[in-house]
Amino acid sequence: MIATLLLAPLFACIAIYLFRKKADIIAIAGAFVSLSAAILLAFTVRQGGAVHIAVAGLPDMPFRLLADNTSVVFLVVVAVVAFCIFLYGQGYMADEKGKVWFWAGMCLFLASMQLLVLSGDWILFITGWELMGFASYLLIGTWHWKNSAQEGASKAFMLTRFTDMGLYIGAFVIILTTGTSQITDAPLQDISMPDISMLGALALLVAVMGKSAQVPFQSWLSGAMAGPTPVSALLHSATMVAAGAILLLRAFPLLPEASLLWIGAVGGITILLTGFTAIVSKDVKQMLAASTSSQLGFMLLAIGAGFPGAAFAHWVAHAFMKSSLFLGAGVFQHARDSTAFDTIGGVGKKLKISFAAFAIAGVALAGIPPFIGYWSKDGILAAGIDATPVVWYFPVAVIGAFFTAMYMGRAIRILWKGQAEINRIQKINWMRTGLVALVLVVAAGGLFLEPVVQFAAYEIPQNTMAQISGIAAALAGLAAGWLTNTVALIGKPVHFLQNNYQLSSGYQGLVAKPALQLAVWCDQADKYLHKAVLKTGGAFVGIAKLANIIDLFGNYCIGQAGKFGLRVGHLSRSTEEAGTDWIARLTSSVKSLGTYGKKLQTGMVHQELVWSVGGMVICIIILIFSIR
Amino acid sequence: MSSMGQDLLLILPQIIVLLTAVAALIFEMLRRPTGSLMALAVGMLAAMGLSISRLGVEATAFSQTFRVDAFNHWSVIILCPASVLFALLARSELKGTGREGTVYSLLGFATLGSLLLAGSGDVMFIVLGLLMNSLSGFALAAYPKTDAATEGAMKYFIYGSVTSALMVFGLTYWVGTTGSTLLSALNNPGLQPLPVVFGLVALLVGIGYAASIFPFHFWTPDTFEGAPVSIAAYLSVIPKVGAIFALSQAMKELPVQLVNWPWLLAVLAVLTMTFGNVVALWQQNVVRLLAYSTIAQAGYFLLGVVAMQQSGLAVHSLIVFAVAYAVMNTGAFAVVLAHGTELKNFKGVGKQHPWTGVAMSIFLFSLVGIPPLAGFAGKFLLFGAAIDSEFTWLAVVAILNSAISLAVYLRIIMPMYYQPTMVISNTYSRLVSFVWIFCLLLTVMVGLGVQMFLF
Repeated sequence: MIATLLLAPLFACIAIYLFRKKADIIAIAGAFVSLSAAILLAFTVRQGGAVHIAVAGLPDMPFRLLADNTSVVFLVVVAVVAFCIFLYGQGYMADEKGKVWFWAGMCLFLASMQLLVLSGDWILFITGWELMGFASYLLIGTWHWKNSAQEGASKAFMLTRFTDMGLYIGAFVIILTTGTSQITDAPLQDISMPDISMLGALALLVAVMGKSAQVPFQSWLSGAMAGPTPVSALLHSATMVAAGAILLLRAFPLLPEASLLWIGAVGGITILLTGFTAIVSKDVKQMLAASTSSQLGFMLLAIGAGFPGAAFAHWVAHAFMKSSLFLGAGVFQHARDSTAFDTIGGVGKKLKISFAAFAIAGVALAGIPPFIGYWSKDGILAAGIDATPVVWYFPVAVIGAFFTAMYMGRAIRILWKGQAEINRIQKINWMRTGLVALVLVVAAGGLFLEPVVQFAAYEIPQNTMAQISGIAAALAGLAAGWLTNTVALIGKPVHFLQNNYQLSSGYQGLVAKPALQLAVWCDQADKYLHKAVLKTGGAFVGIAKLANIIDLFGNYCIGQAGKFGLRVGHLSRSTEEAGTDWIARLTSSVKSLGTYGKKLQTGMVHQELVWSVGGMVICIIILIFSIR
Repeated sequence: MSSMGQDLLLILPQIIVLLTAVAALIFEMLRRPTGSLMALAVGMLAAMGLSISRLGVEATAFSQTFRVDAFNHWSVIILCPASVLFALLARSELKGTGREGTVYSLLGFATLGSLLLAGSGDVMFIVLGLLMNSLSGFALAAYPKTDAATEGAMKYFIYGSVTSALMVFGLTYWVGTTGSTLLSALNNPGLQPLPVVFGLVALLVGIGYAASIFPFHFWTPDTFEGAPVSIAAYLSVIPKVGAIFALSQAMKELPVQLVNWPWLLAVLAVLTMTFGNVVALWQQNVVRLLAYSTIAQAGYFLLGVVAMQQSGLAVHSLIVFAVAYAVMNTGAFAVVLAHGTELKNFKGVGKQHPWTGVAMSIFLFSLVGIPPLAGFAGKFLLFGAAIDSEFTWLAVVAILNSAISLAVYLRIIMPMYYQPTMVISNTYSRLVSFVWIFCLLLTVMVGLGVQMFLF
């Protein structure tokens, strides 16, 4: 069953790539098979306990697939969300170019996410993680003839690849500390496991920050908006960014106490900064992107407070809410050919169903009962109160909840107020089906959230004060958002916020610039050396010396003769107008001889041998100093 | 059985390779190039089969001068089939020319040189192996007789002569201070450190030249660019694997207390990877780009050598990475042979030839080290070996480098998918297709089933 679950989307991907026809049908079929397998697997696990599979892998570390209570919940959520998005995508992509690319990428993406969720050891986890990064690169670049898509794709891929370094180091540290590559399958009970070192925990945190778009690595999410909206919906809800949270949930039993503070701090800072970005953004998709960072920040905060259960609940709830919001945004995008707030203002009155769905999901995200978001956000607020040593978790969470409500309120108002002409949308029924299915879960899911979380062996913390303050913050935020009647704010600081803090976007400053600088520097050093060595001649190298000097001298003579001939040619041409044909011919032949000789010579073996000998001498010096 | 007979039996795979090369030469004399190729294929596969059956045997031959160990077996298993693949690639380039058989025979001799390097337990074998390797290499690089090829071969030759001379000169210090040419004689902490240092650095110069380790790599890009693609592929795999294995054989013995060589090798590894990756960012020619990438990969190999004495993973990691490197690099060169050596030749390949597009992407991603491909398995083990021997900083630098290398390889992948088609049509030999399909299967299989490749 596990095999079907993983292979169905993978085969769909290959089939789409090969046949290049009926891509949508193959993809939806693949997703459907995967969904049914996931549900069947969930029942099997519920009755018969966890399923383990081990296959060949690295020495002493076989690849393990593990379907336990936690992972089947992840699996089902991912499969449901993906299936709805696939249905929606059939309508969304009807008139768009790049269908084969899109559907193949979506299937690959789904397969790799399911692999990540199912992985029972760290190596497979890395595999799923990397494959997903690659698939996201393909998907963001779906409209690859647009520059912004290419840039966004490369940026997302390079940035997440860079932070993946942390995952590699963290995985090594875990394997070396625990002596096994297996992921512990009983999250809360196994306390006897030794904690990993602080270094390992922080390395893992870096990986999470990259994948989950936490400050200062949040900027790739905005770039990733260049992809089609279903891609954004998938990326931002149950997959990709959510993988970071899964990593932390999986590693939670191993994390040392002290690292939790760091995780909470990263989460808290992200909640506030990106929440603010969302309030001032000018584009609905950019707003949702910033909101994703912010919501993932809530999960990190809960984990930092020591309540993975709250993070898990919010993970499930967020998957449904954020995908519905994106799907709604996609409908408006089709209606107005844009996602900017000033063009889509007022479309809500024409597209009532989609608007209602968007509004329900938005209110749910703000944390109003009885929708699913209330229950999960409540858990996080309670976690903030119960986090004993840290006093500021709770205020941050409340302010974050207020921000969330505020930007959702603002977006709902903008969409409702005003008048707008809309395009006729082809195949809107497909889009509506996917959207409405997801919103139903958002609306009714609140009742099932707690049993599901308990089934996954977690629990949601509860606290009356958290409930009251949560609802208060949500209502105040919605009201504030509704009253903030500014589509476009102005001024430099706002621009800075709208661009998602580009100055602090870590990757550009940390990696790209130094690497390019180094490249420029190497290039210049090389050029400089070319010149310097040419001047000093081949005087250094003992063995190649003679040959080189002769060669250089010959080249020099040829070059000089060439120049001389050229000068003669010029001179004769300018003084006498006629009868200089033979001189011109001679000149050109000498010139070509010169370039020929030069060409043979540009190997610059002597120059490079100097480098090598120099390197050798340095090696000797290093070693002599190291003699003990 | 006499001890001589036993020794000969132990080196039977090497003898088979020698006879194969000679047979290829004889067929060439009879002007039967196809016969040469067949002889090469049969002989090499026989040697490989023999070595597979002997996996696990640990012995020495000819009074410890030649080691029959994991490195030796795996060098045969990796390099012999690889040489057949290179011969197939070469055939697609020079079928019908007068020098076909010579090339096959030279490939055989060059492979033999690398096998001797990989099993060397004595400095004389290192010198001998390196010379056999490079002498055949000069001729192979020069055979098209174009200006570029001649220039590249000349450069390779000058570089080879200087570094080999330096190496032989420095190794005499080892022989002088230990009184023996055996590598195992170095395993004595009471030796004079200074002569050992001279010998070690000289060995690094010679090995560094063959394996293109910074700063002894300068011949690589020019020679690769000038030489035919099939020969560039050969130069990137066979001498490198042999040289790295030979270095490991020597470093197994040298006491760390005497000279702190792991540290020096770690520095060289960092410089090599970083230089290779950073300079590759600037290349417009795919072969030059791949040439710099092979330099960078040599840096990763050094991680395993650094860990040689402290980590039990080192030998495994080197072997797995050698297998992975051989298949993915050969595959990438085969696709280059099929589509052209300029970056612009790759525009739109992904749409016109989906299969080769996917294959090339997989080879390049494997070179980056993206799981679950072969390159990932090798690099993962190498990083593990480095961390295991307390060189965590080295592993961190190596992982960072693999992030930079992604940008390098994306430079080939981007035009394949993101740019409009430029190629009108190009036809290439079925042999090339066979080579890349074979490499593709192995790249995926090695990554998934690493366990079965170990002992």
